[in-house]
Amino acid sequence: MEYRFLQSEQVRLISSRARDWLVGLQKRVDNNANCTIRNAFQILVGLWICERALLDDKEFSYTKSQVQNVNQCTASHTDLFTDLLHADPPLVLLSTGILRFFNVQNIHLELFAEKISQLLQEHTDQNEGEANELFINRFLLHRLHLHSPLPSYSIREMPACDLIQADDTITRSLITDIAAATQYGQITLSTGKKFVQALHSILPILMVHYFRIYNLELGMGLLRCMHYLDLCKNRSFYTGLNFLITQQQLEGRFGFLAQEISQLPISREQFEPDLNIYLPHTVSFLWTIAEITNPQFILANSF
Amino acid sequence: MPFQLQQLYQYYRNASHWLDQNIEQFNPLKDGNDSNTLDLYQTKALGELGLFCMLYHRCTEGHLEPTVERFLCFIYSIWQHPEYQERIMRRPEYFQIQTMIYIVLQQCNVINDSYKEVIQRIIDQGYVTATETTAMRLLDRRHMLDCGKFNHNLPSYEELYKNTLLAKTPPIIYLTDTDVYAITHTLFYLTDFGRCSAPMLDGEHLSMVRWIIETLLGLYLRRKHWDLVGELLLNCLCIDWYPEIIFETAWETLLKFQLPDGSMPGPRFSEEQASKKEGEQKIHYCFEQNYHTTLVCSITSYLTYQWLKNHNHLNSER
Repeated sequence: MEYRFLQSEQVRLISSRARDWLVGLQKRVDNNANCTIRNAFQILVGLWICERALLDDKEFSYTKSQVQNVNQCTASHTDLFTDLLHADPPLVLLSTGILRFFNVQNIHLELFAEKISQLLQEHTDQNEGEANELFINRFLLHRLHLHSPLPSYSIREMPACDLIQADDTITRSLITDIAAATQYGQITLSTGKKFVQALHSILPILMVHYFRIYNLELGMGLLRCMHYLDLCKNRSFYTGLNFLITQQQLEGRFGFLAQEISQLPISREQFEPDLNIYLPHTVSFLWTIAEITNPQFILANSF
Repeated sequence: MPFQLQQLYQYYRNASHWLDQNIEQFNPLKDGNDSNTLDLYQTKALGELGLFCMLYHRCTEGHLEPTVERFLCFIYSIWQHPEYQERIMRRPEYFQIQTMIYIVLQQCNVINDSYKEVIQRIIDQGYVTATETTAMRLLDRRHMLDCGKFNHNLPSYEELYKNTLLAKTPPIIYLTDTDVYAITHTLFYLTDFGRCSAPMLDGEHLSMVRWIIETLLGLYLRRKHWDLVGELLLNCLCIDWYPEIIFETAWETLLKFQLPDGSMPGPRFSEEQASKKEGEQKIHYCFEQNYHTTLVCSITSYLTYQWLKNHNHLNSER
């Protein structure tokens, strides 16, 4: 398989290490009371990205095994609908799509997807922001044949001097807006020329800023946005990507986050760093690396 | 452009007015100045005020505004004190900051070069060019000696540049404030503050340097670190680089953040701390915290004003 920006060997090393770590976690969570249904979906998505986009493993051995785990997990929950809502609907919808890829129709997940579809069809978005927030759900539902084709989405413009000072909330909205307005890089952004210029200049700076302060989540989100906006030739893009790949630990999980974890005011009984912190970061890392290096891969479109 | 050229000039006027109002604070020979540290800090400040005058003088080819003339008169009045002039001979460990004053006054045609021989004597003894320092400081040393047309044995700019942080272009994500100051100053000395182009800054390396400056400008603008924003904007002029969006956003923001008295808040300035002080104490605090940032932003605004006028960036579609 041909990869962009990184050597094939690098991609293989990154993803096989991440897969090994996810498989280890898969085994550990079976007997772990802190493991939630959300963790089961996250492991599924992580393995899926490794085997579908990065390792090009046609056997999908570990993803298939996690599909069985998800089936068992959903069967054992009593108030499943609430649990699924708490698990994050886009994650559930994406998992539903992955299960369908393996010809597995999980009745609980299918019902959940239909219910979300119904709710969204009855819902009128209050504003552009809400429409963009809900875009990912609609996009995934459309892929599941549970939503009509999507309209075009627009991005909320702001002056360059506000953009450069964007706080975490605004940055998060910006990432959502860019994903919606470009449909994960599939369409060109159609907005004012001046704002596009401002985005092209300032987005790379925001990305570097978030990596400098070790906010990996927002840094990765911005790096993906640079990819969606076709800013891959910008030097900051390579800087961000090179920084990112150095943040994988030797055992495959992503991030050096002991400092942040030690400052969390939560007891270890309720909290498992690997599940609560490293797992979502690792999935997000794999998502970023996969979309950037594999030109055919868009996570939300991958099943 | 989100701001008018005239606003830039007014910004410069306000900043230079603040410097004028606080001119006595630059005096290292003030009565009761018995602390060596305080004296050195003021000597450094005086040297920087001198640099401001020298860059202004070069830009206007000797046609000086009354404020700048007053600055030069003040610096000259300090220079006239024999105990100040003699420091170059008596304390060669501070050679650079003391000699700066001579160079400024000589370059601005306030004094002739009769003292040059005395300074050359101390250089010839070999101490001031032999002491150890960073690669950027060696460039600084060479630049100053060249400005004063002194003979010396320092390596070429090319050789000195090779060892700087900027030449090695390390990942921007890890750069600290100190690293960024090393970068901005490297470009100042290498280009003689934009007076000449540096042959080692060309091709792919120049485009890398431009990207570094533009990105750092954005990062420090985000941090509202006006000291480095001012220096990085001056770097844009040094390498004749106009990154439209960031450059204009930086100026638009600087104009907004100038304090009512014309000063620019330094990186450690606290409005709350200032409000707790009164009288002389408050003046000292505000000067100590803000003089450098105000000086940097003042000269950068003036040079940018001239640069934009000459390059006609205002009317060009880029």
